[in-house]
Amino acid sequence: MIVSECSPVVLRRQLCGQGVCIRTGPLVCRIQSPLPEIAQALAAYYADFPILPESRFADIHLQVRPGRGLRRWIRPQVFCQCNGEIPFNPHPRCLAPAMLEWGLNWAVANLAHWYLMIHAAVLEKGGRALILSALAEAGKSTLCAALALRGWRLFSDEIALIRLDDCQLVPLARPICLKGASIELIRQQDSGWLVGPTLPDPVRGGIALVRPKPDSVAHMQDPAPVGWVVFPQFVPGSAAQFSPLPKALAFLRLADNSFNYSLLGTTGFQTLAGLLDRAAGCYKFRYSNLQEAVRWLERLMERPPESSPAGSLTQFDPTIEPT
Amino acid sequence: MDSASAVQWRLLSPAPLVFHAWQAEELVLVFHPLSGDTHLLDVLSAEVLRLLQSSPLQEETLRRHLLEWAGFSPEEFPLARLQTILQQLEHLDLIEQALS
Repeated sequence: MIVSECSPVVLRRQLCGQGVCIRTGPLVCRIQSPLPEIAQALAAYYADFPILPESRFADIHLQVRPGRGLRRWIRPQVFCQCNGEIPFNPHPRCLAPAMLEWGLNWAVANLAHWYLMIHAAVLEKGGRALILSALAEAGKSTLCAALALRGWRLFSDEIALIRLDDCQLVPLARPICLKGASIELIRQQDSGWLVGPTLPDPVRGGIALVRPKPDSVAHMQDPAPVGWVVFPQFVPGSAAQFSPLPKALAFLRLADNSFNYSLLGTTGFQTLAGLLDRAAGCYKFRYSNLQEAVRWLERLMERPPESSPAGSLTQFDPTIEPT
Repeated sequence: MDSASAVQWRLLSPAPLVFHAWQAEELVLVFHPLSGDTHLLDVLSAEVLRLLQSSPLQEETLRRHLLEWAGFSPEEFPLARLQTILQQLEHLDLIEQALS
């Protein structure tokens, strides 16, 4: 059974009781919450995800609960508890769906150490994965959403999971979290009603979640080899520009953006090196126009792997304007 | 051989270093398993570490190996250049002078 086949009443009852167990990629998450907003969020953003039996072992146990004491009624708040820990301060209750996502991200980043984890968006097209790794505010999730809406298979907008044995990328296929001005930018391109309502958040300029396409969810247990590693940076007024980056420097950037590189020790080093061995190339990418950026990235991924052997700089010529 | 070039160097830790480099890139990544540190080195510095990984070596012996390995003439690779590399690696806590 998938979430959309479950009636709202049953979904709500399960969330209030034993919890709803859903699979996201390789992980099983048990979600519990008495809040109707969480039931609505699951129905809206996880509609195509399979519901597993209540008795199923779960990797992640996440509860989203209303604030305590007066915070249940006065300027109500929510907080989340992941595997017994409360990772964040309470937030306004209107951000409950975002709290669910933040909690799941935190849980994955603190649990799944049988993968090398990097703070990055990952999408797949033509059998190869594109890694978009960047610090906050670089436009990573915006690019990720734009590409996902154009049919790229969504792996994650936050966490790249890299298998330690063969360096393949593993999907999570969870919703994309957009912030601020990027929400309307993506909504304009959304013909499938995948972008949810904007949740008011004065700190981030609003938050909206983007539901993954059914195809991404259907293939969320299918890994992919790396194709390209791109470090995007949104620079207002800048023309789209790729700059080749030596793999050794890309390695250090990815290690810096990793959640558990240090924890994994030699295995982390060898896995990251193995990933870059297999990558067709690494680039810094400055952009300001989303449509233009998407065209460039699509053109990049269309390059056949034979033209850019691992271990050498790619032959891709970034000076040629994409068609 | 003067007394300076008789100085012997060795790795600070016995744990084997892990090296990785890519074709056409003149940079080498070196991972130190005990400290967990990752270093980005030029190829000469990395080769010094690789040589010291086998056994402690005197500066003059190191220099001779490097001249042969890189195809340098003695003028192109004076002892002072090697000593700069050794000092930098010592500063990174990767090597130390060995007691003779």
